[in-house]
Amino acid sequence: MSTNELVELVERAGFVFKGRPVAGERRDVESETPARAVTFTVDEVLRSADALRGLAGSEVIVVTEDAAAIADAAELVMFTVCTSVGDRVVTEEIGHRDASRRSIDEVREATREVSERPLRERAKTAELVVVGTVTGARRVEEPGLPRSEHDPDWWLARVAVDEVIKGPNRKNVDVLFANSNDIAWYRAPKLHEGTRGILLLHRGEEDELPREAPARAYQATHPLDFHPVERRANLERALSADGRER
Amino acid sequence: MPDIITVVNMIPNGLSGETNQDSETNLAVNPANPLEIVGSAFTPSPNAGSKNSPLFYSNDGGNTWNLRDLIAGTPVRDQSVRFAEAGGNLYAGVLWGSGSNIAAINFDILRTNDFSGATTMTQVAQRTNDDQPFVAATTVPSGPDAGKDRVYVASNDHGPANVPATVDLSLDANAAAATTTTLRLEDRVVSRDGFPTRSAVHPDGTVYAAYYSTTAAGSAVVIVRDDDWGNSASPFDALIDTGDGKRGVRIATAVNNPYSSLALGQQRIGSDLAIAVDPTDSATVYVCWGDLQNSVYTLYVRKSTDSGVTWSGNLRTIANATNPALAITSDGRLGFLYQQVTGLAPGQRWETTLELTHSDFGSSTAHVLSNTPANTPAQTFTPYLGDYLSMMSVGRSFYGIFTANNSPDNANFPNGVTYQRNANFTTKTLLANDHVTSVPVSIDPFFFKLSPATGRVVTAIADAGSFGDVCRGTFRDETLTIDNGGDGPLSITSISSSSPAFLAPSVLSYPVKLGPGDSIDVTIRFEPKSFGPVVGTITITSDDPAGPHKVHVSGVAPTPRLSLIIAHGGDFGPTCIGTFADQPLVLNNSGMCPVTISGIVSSSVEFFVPDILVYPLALGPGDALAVPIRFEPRSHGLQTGTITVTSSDPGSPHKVSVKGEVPSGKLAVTGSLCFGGVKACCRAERTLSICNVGHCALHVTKVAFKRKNPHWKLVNNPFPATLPPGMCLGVVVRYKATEKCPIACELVIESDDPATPVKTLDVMAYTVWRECTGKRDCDCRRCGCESCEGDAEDCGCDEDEGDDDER
Repeated sequence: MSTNELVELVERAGFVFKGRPVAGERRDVESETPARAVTFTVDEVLRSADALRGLAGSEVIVVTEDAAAIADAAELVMFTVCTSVGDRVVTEEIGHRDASRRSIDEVREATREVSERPLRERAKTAELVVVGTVTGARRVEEPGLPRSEHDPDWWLARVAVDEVIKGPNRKNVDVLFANSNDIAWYRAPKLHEGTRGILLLHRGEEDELPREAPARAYQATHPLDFHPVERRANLERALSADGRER
Repeated sequence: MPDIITVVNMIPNGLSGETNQDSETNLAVNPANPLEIVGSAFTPSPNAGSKNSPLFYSNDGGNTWNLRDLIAGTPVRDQSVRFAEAGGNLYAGVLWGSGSNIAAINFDILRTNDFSGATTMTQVAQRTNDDQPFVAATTVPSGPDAGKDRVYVASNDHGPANVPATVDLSLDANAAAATTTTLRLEDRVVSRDGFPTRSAVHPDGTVYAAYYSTTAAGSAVVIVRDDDWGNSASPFDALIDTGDGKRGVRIATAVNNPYSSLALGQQRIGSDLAIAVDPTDSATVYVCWGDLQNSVYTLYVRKSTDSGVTWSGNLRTIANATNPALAITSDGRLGFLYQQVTGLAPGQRWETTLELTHSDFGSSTAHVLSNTPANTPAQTFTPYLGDYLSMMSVGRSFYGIFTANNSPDNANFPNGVTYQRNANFTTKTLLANDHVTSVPVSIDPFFFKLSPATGRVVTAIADAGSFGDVCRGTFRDETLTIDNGGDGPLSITSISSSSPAFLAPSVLSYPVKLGPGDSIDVTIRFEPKSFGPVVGTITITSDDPAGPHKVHVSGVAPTPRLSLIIAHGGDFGPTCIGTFADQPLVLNNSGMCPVTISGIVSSSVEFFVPDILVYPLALGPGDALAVPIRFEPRSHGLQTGTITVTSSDPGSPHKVSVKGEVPSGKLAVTGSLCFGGVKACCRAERTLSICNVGHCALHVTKVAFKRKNPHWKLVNNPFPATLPPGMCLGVVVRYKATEKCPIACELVIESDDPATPVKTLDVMAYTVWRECTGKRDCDCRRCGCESCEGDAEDCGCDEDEGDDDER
């Protein structure tokens, strides 16, 4: 399996773990025939949603087309998708590989690649990447009836640029941000006065912007548009990888 | 009547480590199968990087839950779910997608009946730029469109400038290629409509929708109605406000809709709406809304009994409350669910309360489902609890969903709670999958069900309802104990049997009423009407919500079995005519039940069965009866016959072959008939023994000379006579030697010896003449007669001799 194929497999897998088939345990999982379900003891979670990171030491059921071979293996890395999480976690296998140290290192690298890809892609599309400090912020729109519960509540921040990492040099830049804490916006950066960090700035589509917003204002609305300066190395790695997209 | 309340934290055990703010919940119960329930919340997919989003699914009535990626798309924002009335289709209205432009956020109407998690829901329709899609659904119960799912997704459409209340409806949502129609409900000039639009559909085709119309003068709570599934020529125009002549009756005016400018206990208050139509009467409809007056946000409940034309005053007001839901059960009980902030900061609490009333709150019962801190956990995003929750009724039960602080503290759940996720209620700590690591408190979805306490039929019967072997014509009684194992009274309205062989008790007057824990014994009788195994079902019909209670009963009516026994295979052996032989035919009941014998007949006149004056004969199990069969032959040779026994044995009639040999007498003749020469004029005699050497009597019917002959006589002929076996009778043959020339004579013996019915014996003698010249007068003394020896003086010429002895 090539590196790209492994990355693609990791990206499709919602739950990747190193585990051991429970000897003799092939379980009946609802409509699945017993022969297709193998119980695993999870030794290490390699990729998962946050809520399932604590499954190490627990048993999960893997529905697979290759149950006979998998059940006899000593240890495997399983690439799966969770189909049901109840008292037990039931997953469907989309791939597996041996659990050698080298194999696991390759999976970890692929997992890191998958996790960094969004930042790399966000950095790639950023028009301006700066290190700066918010010197002031104000609401763009006059208070009134909101158009929606999910309104962004546009604010405009004035950012004093300390350093330009990508794009033309600027001393100051105006940045629109969503001040709403609504489910749709709560992860968006909140650029209130005194905030300092790395900003990945984009220009929004016209119909997305409030009429009162400066025409050339940038936007920082994506959760990855703001990073503490301590994460500059990560950002620079993402920017440097920009030219060698996989 | 007490109510049974169940509250379940819906986070599955597998997600014990989760800390999401799982707010804004919605719930759908499948009316066709209330064990199947679907819930929604702002809960992320259990899969890393998933492009899908999950729903909660329960197939055991909400006691346990699974999280499954059923929605294609992520992240999901507002969502609601509802099952159709029949058929099991779930419908969802879902907002999903990322980006800063709400106009690009997808609004999907989805459908599925596959909750395995292997596939996502089918997209029925999609558009964008919408808010709070809220689903109502039913199934057309009768008529030409029977079986069609009718789906109404009420929402606040952001496309038009006035952001109007809108309904997207499908009149055949379960069709493979379902179509939808988007109807703007707002008919007034408004700056915008409120966030929530809520609809309610009745199976008779009545569809209501309520929304906030906001003008410069304030907001009005408006209700519209369509009487033909939303398919009228002028949809939703059935209610016209008498004040402004516009579509939709204004239930309340000058309402101050806070539009999210208000917060209660970390919860933003946009606005609130709930609507419920009486499932038994589409003219009865309730609406609840929120209004901010004098800095106090209050929920109001009003009612219309004329299909929304006129409205009551406020039936109920709840201050500092949000997230209302209304539902009406099949027995007309109104449920009013809401979440209220109580106390003073920083010690405020969120109380989730369900109020129940049959009398529009003239009297009511309130159940606090949760009472949790309002300041913890800290808000991750808004809405803290959700812009809505959900409740519906199925039958007499209420089902609902709400969100609350998930601290495992029994004090927070006055009516009890069950957690699936790991939690220590002693230390009030949530635990991760390892049962050790503590997990921070967060907002979780909670399912609840409230049902009136009902009776529950519990039965007991010996041997699991097996009556064992019972003979036809008899019966066996068993006691069936019916116990009310429920929490409420039980009313039994019938006890019936599916089989005529099992007799349910006759009850003079139903219903039979049992209090909780009470029981009665009734007798079930097994009285088989046919042979073999019999099964049946005793059905106890009552108000047990579980439906009719069935008790399976069984029994066997053993088959009667008659065995026939006769010695020697029915061979009576040699039997002479005139005699008889008896053999017992043994009738044995080798079965478990009595056998009745209704006839015994013989096919032969030579085999006799006994005369039985009155049938039937009865034979008990194991009994035997020896029936004498008489063989009384009338003819010789092998005689056969068949004895036929007719009985209650299903194998009847039984036939037994009988036979008997009928021997005859056997003629034997001894003694010599050869006289040789006899002196002329003398007599000679020979005795012939005629014997029966057979096994049976020999009837000798005739012993005589074939032709009359003066020289031959039989003396003292005893025949005709019957000779018993072994007996002989002698016959004396006399020859009178007077003939000049020897003449043969034949003695004929006739008998019933079948081998020799006529036996002919030659008798031979001749006369020894002296020299004699004249013979004419046969003067034996003068011409040739010899002096006789012994009896020679009996001259054969004695003319006086007659034929007396000849026969």
